[in-house]
Amino acid sequence: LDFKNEKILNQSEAELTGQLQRGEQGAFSKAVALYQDMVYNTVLGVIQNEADAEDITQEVFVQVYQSVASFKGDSKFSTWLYRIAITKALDFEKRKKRKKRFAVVQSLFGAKAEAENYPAEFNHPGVLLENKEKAAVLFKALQQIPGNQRIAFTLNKIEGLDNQEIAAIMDISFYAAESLVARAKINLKKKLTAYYQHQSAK
Amino acid sequence: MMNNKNTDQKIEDALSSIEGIKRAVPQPYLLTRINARLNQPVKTFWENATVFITRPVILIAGLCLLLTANLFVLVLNTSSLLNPAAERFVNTTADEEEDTASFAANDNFENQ
Repeated sequence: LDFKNEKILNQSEAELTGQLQRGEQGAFSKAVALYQDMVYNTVLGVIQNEADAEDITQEVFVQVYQSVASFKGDSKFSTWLYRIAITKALDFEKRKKRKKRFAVVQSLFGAKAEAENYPAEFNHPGVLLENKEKAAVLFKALQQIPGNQRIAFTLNKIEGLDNQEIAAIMDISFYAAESLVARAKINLKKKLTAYYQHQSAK
Repeated sequence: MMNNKNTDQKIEDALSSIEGIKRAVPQPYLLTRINARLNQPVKTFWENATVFITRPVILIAGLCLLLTANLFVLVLNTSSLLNPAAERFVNTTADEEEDTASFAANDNFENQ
């Protein structure tokens, strides 16, 4: 985005935030229409499941509706939305891990544990057909690196944000964001090396 | 050597496989589903508590706890009935303690 376009976008964002805070009719629908893809794509990149990503996207907009009045405008509206989306996605992951841990105990008590039948590999719908297989391996490796690195990498590569924007969303310095993306790439390379070496040894 | 080169190439290919990725789009009518969610009645604390308590795992755990407590009391009572010597010892010790207390009280009285 050039400076002029960014200025226009910021103005319209501020205008929309004002409309939302005043509870103007149609403002919420406009916000959903404008930002649904952004929120869904971010959440999908983190949790790698389409049905769950959609569910969390709904949760994000419900929270926006309920707490937009408390939004002070310290950051851009889209930055605030990204933060909510990431927090919700990470919370979901924590819940999922907790459920997995208790599933064994629940099955001992005879209670029907909720099945977490995730497909073995995730295919992002936005990846080109010829790259699907390689991207699935990359997404699998992405699941194995630390959370903050994963978020930074997702925002950078899947959402196409620069380090400045990542820093604003994650509430860290520019250099910290740059370092996170770099470390994510290094760790991904390690995971991919292990994967491909294992594959060739088979 | 050849193998390493091959692996490096595969890693590079995997990393560049998401270059030019397009944004994923949610299913249509997302706004309708969000509105439906917003219109859902909010559950009260007691409704949530009832749901939690009536979960089979919680019910079974509570029942187990209750049975264990009962079993503990039962074992304690049975062992004292089956072993009167222990009961006698407990009584004797209690009597002795009582005697010592009364003696001390008397002694204290005389000193005054």
